[in-house]
Amino acid sequence: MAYNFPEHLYFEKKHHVWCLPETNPLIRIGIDPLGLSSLGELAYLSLNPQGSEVRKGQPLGMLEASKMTGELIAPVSGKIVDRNQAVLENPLGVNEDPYGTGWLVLLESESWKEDSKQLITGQEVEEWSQDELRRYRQQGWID
Amino acid sequence: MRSSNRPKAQLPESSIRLIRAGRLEPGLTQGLYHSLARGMTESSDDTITLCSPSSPYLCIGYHQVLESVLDINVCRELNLPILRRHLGGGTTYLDSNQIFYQCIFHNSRVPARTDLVYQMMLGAPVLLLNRMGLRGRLRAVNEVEANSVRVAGIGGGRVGEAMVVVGNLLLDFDYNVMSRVWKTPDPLFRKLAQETMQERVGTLNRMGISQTHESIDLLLAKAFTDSLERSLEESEPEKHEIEAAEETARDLASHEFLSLHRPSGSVLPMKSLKISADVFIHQRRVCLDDQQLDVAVRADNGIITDLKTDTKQSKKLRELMMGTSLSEWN
Repeated sequence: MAYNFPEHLYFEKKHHVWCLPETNPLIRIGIDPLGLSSLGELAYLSLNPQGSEVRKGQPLGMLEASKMTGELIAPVSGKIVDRNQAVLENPLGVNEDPYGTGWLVLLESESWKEDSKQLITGQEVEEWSQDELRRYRQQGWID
Repeated sequence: MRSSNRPKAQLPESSIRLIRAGRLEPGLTQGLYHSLARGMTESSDDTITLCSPSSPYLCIGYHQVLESVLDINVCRELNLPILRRHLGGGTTYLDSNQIFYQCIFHNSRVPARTDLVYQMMLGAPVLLLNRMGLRGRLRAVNEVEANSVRVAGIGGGRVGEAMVVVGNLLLDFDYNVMSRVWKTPDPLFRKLAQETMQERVGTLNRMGISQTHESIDLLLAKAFTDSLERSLEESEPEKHEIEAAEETARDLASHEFLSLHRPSGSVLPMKSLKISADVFIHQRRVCLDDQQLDVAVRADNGIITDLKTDTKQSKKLRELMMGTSLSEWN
């Protein structure tokens, strides 16, 4: 698997979730390849209902791979205005194209300006991702 | 291929809390580990609970649709309570002839990768089986086998800050009740699934092990000590932990939580059932001589090895389908 981390995205470091600000105030959200490598091939994916409010740091859905569930933690607060129906029906689509067709939800976030201060983007991404890749390799979590 | 000789994550020196809870009412066997996990912080003790349910019940995985996997009327008739866990995996029939082990560790003290978490937590039951002379091994990421058959159910998940892996050792198993409660597309699917389960899922009793729960608890605790290379310190659950477990048990059995993921409209019965790592039962509709025929097939590693159908074309279907790839019949 290729572990690329595009610098135009914003990353939540702890849970390996990415954010892409689109037309204000919409934020597209997904999981990065390192987060997915930890989980393995997704068998199930459930997302909170469209129209529901999510708070930063709280679950916005659940994932399951190899009989192991994991919470999908919201990197920012907002209202879910769209969910990716394709990956709800075929969760493997998330593994196949995590930054593209494997996106998860579209949030309408009024607090993006404040919430995004705790995310990293631009040049910070390179340094963080290299550190993470080194850590994962040292621990034997990736090849 | 992934190497097995990888450096281990740095393990902490502190001991693991062991709760040998013995017989608990069904709800508490799920509620206790869920509530311990929810209350866990980095400074909490990693904990292993060992327990058995005092009476039979059913437990479904987090993402399962209740009505598609269980026949609710039969469950009521058999007086079997149903709970949903926050962990993954499939439907399990649980009773007092099983020993549950439930590992609740802080996520910072386990590997980030799912398969390595299973390796870490399931090393003990595998070691125990080998010490019993039963050729224990971990197969296909998370299946605990003894003498080449499945002897346990496994599930896992992140609950709050905790990483949880639960499993059971089958001392004995009621194959009949398990197969009666399935919501199957037809009786032949159920029959084929039951026969396959009796072949692929074994019990310690069938393998000649007849030790008591208490002695297996002690052996399992020792196996955890050796496998995790950490000491275990036994303690009783505290009053507030029991109260939290009782409340959690009510949530897990609530109508609201059991209805999770239920689609609108009618719910169809399952069309596939996993029996063991590489063995599944599937329902297929096959066109033969201009007729649509329903067939229950068993697939081992994706190859059809058995089938049942109630049509007069049974012999012909068998000749056509046996030994072929399941994917040819989608």
